[in-house]
Amino acid sequence: MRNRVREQRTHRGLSQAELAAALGVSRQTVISIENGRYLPSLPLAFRIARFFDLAVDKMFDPDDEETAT
Amino acid sequence: MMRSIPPRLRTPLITLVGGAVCAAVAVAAYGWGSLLHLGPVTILGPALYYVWGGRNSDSAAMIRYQVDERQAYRQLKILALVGRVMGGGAVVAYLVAFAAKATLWPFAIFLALFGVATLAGWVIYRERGDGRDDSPGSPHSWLTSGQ
Repeated sequence: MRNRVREQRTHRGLSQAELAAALGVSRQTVISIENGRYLPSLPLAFRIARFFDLAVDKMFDPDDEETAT
Repeated sequence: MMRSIPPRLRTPLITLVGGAVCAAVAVAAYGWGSLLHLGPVTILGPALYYVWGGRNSDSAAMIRYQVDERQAYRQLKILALVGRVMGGGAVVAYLVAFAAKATLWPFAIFLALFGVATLAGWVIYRERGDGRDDSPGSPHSWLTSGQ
């Protein structure tokens, strides 16, 4: 599962800590999600997508099955 | 009650209380001399937890009881591994004690706890309708009929 979290975050000039604070998770979790090591739960995936004003399927690409939790 | 305690003090306080209880039991059983061994551990343990709890890491978040969903999932996996190892260890220890003709009841208690905890987990975390076909007309359709 690939995602566009890092791309969107850097596009908006946010640090990982700032994004983590906005989402209510730890900085380590943002790093894990960006690296594809952790697949967020549905509620968190929706929070991330809403934060970036994107649909969940635009934020997370299920076609790439390289990584999994 | 836990919420009224500052996060960073939660685990240190629990460790301190637990250590104090252990120390009291040791003093009652073996006298004040036992404090020479237990005392430093009882004081150093909570101090280490307090220092470690101030870090910005997964383990520190667990110490502070302030985990997010990934950290909670990681904690769950760690606990599951501990449970498996302890359960396996209880079985092996019982067999070794049985083979050595040693006293069996302490090992039997751990085996029984393993079984009871498994059963309790199965009951506590059961999911209504789990694995049943609840489509209309099926014997378990009542599970979703209220929706």
